[in-house]
Amino acid sequence: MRHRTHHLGALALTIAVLTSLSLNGCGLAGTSSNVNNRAQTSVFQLKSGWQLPKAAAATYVGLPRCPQATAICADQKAVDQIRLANKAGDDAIDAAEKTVRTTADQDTAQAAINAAQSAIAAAEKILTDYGITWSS
Amino acid sequence: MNATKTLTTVNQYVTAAAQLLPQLIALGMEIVPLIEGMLTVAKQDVPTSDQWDALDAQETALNARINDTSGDVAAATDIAAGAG
Repeated sequence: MRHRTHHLGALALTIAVLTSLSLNGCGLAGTSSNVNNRAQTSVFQLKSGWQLPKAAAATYVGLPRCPQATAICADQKAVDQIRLANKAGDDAIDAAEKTVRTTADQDTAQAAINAAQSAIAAAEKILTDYGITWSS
Repeated sequence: MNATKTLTTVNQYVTAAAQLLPQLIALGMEIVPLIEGMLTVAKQDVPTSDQWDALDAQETALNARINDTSGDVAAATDIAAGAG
């Protein structure tokens, strides 16, 4: 793991995003129309935020594979794990998007948002474990 | 000897940074529209279909890069297993 961190640490990408866009603790309440609109906005923001680690991951995957004569390279095993994490995050957020765009039920929408937030957090944890970092 | 080694190491990092620069610029260009989209939707009542489509397109484009296997190599364990 240490050698991976060495290679990946060279690619510590920091992306500044306004913290005001954070969705943590976002709850749904109000009329069904408002709830649906807020649910859609929440998932849209969550999905937008998910694109940032994805972009950093894409940049890492685009590097030449280790070992390289240069100091910066991508470990193949890390790339494999990053792809799995990326798919897990996508599957969760796409499912949440489908739910909030088709339901007006508050509980269903909130459950979809919660599930997506958890899945995204897990996927982001895997990316950071492999040295891909950003700030939000 | 140490000075030569240090210079070689510095040269490697400078070369690596130069190689990475275009990718970092491209990354910045990808992120700006994302942030703009987030800010725009934050001011609206609900995201429009066009905004969802644009976000989906962004996701698809990034996935194409992440899942591009053209640069892949066999993992060390796979090579060892194949050799065995």
